Amino acid sequence: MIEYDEIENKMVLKLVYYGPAMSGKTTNLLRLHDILNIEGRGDLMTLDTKDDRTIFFDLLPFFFTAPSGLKIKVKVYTVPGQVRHDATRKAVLTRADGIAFIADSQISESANNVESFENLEKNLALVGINIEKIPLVIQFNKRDLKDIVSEDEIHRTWEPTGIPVFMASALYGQGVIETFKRLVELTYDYIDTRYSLKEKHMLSKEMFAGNLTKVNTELAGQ
Amino acid sequence: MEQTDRIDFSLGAEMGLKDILSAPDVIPLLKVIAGAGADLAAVTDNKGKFLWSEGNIPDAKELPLQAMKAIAEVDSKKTILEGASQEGIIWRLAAIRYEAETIGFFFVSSSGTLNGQMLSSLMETAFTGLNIIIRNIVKRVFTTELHTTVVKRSYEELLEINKNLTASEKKYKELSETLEQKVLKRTEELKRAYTRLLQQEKMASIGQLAAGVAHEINNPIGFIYSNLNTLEKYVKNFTEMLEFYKRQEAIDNRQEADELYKKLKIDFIMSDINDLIKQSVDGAERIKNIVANLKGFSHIDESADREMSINAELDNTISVLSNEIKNRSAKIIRHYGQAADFFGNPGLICQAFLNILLNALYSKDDNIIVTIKTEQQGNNAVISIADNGKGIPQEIQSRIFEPFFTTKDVGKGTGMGLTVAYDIISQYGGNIEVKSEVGKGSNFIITLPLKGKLNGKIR
Repeated sequence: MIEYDEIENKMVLKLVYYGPAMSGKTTNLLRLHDILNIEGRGDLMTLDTKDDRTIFFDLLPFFFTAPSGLKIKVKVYTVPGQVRHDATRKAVLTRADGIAFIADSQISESANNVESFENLEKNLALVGINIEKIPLVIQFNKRDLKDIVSEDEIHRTWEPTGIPVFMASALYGQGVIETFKRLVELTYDYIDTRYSLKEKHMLSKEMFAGNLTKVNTELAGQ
Repeated sequence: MEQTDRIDFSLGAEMGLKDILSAPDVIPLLKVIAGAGADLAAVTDNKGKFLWSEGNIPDAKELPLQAMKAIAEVDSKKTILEGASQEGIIWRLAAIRYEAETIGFFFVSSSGTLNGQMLSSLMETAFTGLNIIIRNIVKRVFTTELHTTVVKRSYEELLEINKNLTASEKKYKELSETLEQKVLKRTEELKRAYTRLLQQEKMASIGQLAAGVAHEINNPIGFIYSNLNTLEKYVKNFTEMLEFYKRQEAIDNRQEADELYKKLKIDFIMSDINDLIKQSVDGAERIKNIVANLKGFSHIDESADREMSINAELDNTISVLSNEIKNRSAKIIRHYGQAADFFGNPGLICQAFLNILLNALYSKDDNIIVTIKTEQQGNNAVISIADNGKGIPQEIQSRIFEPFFTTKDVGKGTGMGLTVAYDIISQYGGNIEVKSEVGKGSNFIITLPLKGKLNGKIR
């Protein structure tokens, strides 16, 4: 799915934040934008929203150059979570290279999480992506709220699948970087074999992930 | 399905500055800067080559050397770079970024009209403006792209849905059409089966009646016939004795005897009695024949298939119809050829012949001639029953085998005769072909496959 332009010596990766409505996908991107260093990170592009609900998508771009000179652009998208925007979700999901599924921890939202995950499975199949192979992480957001599904239960449910699960409170910036970092690392593993990032471009996983998760030192110092 | 659902169109394709901006977006801004006292205002590509420029140095195609050397530095920073040349020209340079990637530069210079601070604030204002323009254009492009993608996809999905709907509609339509045909066909078959059953039942009861009557008549006619023969012998003896007495002279009451002889018309009786007996014997013989025919026609004793001679069965049928033939004063001409025995139920086959013959006998009112021909063609026995009647009009020829179709007046014909005949013949794998011309007559050609004894049993 990766876009690779040999003449321009450029690679474009697409990561997608998927999940039910109001689970905090845009908040995740907002926090990444706030926490990560301005260097190599673009501005968060928020396409028009209605009552603060994403109806198109949000986009947080990253750009850096590998030691070999290979230009790498990573675009992180959110999809609209509302059921009615399924066509948009499919359009955004097309040619994705990695997915973070943002679930809502509230017990009352469990059914929506399941429904959205099934929707993800269905849409991946429709756009020709194998869910078994694509890098996928799951984040249980809103850990700061009451009446949430217990961590034990979440692990019990998801451990057998082998999909990495993160607890987060995106509003307070907790777990956001961890989720993103793992997604980026998995994406590196996924594409390294095919594009020999390490051998040909002298770009290690640490460098790759490091470039994308450079924390703003000023902020960290506060 | 899978294939058509894939979208090749990808959101957010990589764009260069020229993909995003066009002259009408940039030129007005550059003109304002130049009008505000700048010598040169320019937007360059990511190599420093001018894409659009305005000001007093129209020949400039790229950034001045000093600024060119600084682009790497500007690229890594997010701030505006300030510079001044030895000639007293001051300049400002900023990187234009799109998705965190530097895709061009924005350059402003002045050679004295503006001081450094003025140039900086002019640059800052203009650069912010340019970024807003870019941002808005990119947003619009994204929205349009997404909209296009979604619309295209929805359209494709609709097309696919429509295609599937059309296909399923076609399928159901076909199904319903064939269903109707099937129902019609089955109804027809049922109707035929029912009428055949009805006819067979009728025939069976007629046959039983005929057989019963035949059986009952057979015994009395048997002793009547045999007694008549005996009676004939007795009468012969009586006559001889009477004649002997008549010849005797020496009778006491000769005269009285002669008178009585005369009075009782013994001469007449003696000459008539033989005719009488002969006629009675003939009559009894005829009754015997009729009974035999009745038995033969009903085939009451045989319900199973057997070998039979078609010619013999035709004769059988004709004799059953002899009364009808006489009444219609019809003439039957037989041209029998050689044909192998047919294996089937003679009762049924005779019924078919009878129905077709009856049809021929009523083909017109007088001077009816029915010509019956038989022959063997290959493995088929072909029987043609032709009349010289009125003929069947073309438009009803296809309907004559339909149940209850009749041209006779209500109550005169059942419309079942030819139907039954057709069913019986088809039951044996044969068929009936009709050749008819109005005014000349009709020819019913029956083809019966001669399957032989073995095949017949397998059937």
